[in-house]
Amino acid sequence: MPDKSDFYPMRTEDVCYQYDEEDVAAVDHVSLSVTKGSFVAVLGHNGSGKSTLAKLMNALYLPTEGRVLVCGLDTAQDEEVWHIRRHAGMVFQNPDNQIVANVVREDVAFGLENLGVPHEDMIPRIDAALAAVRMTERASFAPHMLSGGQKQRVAVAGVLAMQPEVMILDEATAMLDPAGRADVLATVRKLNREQGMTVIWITHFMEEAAVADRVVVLDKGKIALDGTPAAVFSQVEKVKALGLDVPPMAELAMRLNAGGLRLPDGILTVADMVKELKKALCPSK
Amino acid sequence: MLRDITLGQYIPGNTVIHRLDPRCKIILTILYIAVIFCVTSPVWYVIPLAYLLVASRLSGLSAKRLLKSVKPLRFLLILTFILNLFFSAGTTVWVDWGFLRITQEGFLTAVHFSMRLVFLVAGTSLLTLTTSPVALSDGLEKLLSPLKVIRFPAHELAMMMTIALRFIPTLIEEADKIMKAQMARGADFESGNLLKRARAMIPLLVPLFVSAFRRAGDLAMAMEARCYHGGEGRTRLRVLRYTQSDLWALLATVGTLLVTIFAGMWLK
Repeated sequence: MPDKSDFYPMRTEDVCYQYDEEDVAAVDHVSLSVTKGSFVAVLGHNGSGKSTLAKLMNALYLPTEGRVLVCGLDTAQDEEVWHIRRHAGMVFQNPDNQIVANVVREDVAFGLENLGVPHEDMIPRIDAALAAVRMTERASFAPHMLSGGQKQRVAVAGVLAMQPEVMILDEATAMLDPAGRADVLATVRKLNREQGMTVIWITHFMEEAAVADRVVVLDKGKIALDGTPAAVFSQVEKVKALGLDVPPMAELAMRLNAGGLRLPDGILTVADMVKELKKALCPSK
Repeated sequence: MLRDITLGQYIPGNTVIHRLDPRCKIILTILYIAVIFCVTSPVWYVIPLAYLLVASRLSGLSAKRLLKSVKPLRFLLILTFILNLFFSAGTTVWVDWGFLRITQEGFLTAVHFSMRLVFLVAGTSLLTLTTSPVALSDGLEKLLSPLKVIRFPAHELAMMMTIALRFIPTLIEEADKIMKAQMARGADFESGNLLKRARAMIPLLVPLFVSAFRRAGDLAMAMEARCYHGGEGRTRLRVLRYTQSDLWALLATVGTLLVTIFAGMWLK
């Protein structure tokens, strides 16, 4: 049998997680296979189980049912836990609470120090990671001198230096201002495009999910929708019923269609809308 | 460089003293303390005085700057002086007020102990003035690591120091934010007597502690997610290396210690 783990660095098989025995399941029979090199957005409102799912993905939590496979390694195996966490790097929500060292450079080194990487090998890896997130110039800064977006980029560099197979960002932009949010998203998207990094981007902002290759919508711990952003967001009514916003252009397209126009599905941006409207209204051109 | 901004009393610089290995500087400080305690008569404070003057010259810090670090201790100093002045036993009586007596021996002891305090603080502050807190905790970890054999948590101690230093600015910022939020709700932190003001701190301290504990929980999870599992098998980005100047500094300090011991034997 060919090894599926090469193609799916992150797989969950029928995973359930309960915080308490009596509680309802925070994650309820989720099966998800993430393709290597893809950028998957996991979208859901508060309490949808998206953060729990993230923590199941690098053995911070262990599933009460089902299993999670990181590069083919089962997270329930105790002795593999450090391999799993190295392969599935995680960036958290609060930029202040995940930076350990007093200097940017040393924080990026933290993961490498834990892995026991020899000193000579550390420096090129740190430099490359800092360059990838455009923080080279601030390598000797103290973390409290940085903006929220910059701190999150440092956190991304810290994970990147460990050379993981998958990068999981658990609402990494939730505490940032719009500029910082766009900055972090663009940085990670670029890593995904240029270095082929597999990214699982957990968020409750639909406009962030719109740039992904694939959107998985969670609701009450279950997968409610799964598909390309165009396919997911064109189901305007359904997305709204789940308590999520749809991109304004998708909603506009739906209303225009209700009014008699025949625009195709999958319009998410203003540019798409302009193009399709031109086609629909001036077919001669 | 901004890396050590406002933490501790470290003054960044690039002198011989600044560049000494932090481990070596800690050892030098211990030796220096030994020198002070080997001084048997106030006269011989010229030896640590000369030592300090040379060191401060080399470190680019003025003697005035070193004395400044003694200032917070002035009350303790005065107290030490007075207590020793009045309550030391002696035979050569200068003043006798019945219950209070000042003797020549008492005066000398008072001078001796006050000097000892001044030299202790001035000398040890040379260490903290020229060594960044990060380097200090690194040095301490390395120096204490042989004690791991008897299960002394050297690595944990250094990690705690690093994290504490890292979170000082964050918590200061947070305290400021909470204070403003409470002031906006009508809290008064500035008026009233000491007790009243201490009580006014409660609405500041409770949220600060709650948030600090939450931060600690988050940080622990983030550290685990980055494979932190204690000091075992851990490598370091910063490698400490002894250089020639460390050797010279060590020799000079040991020399000073020997001179002090002999001086004390020669003239008590």
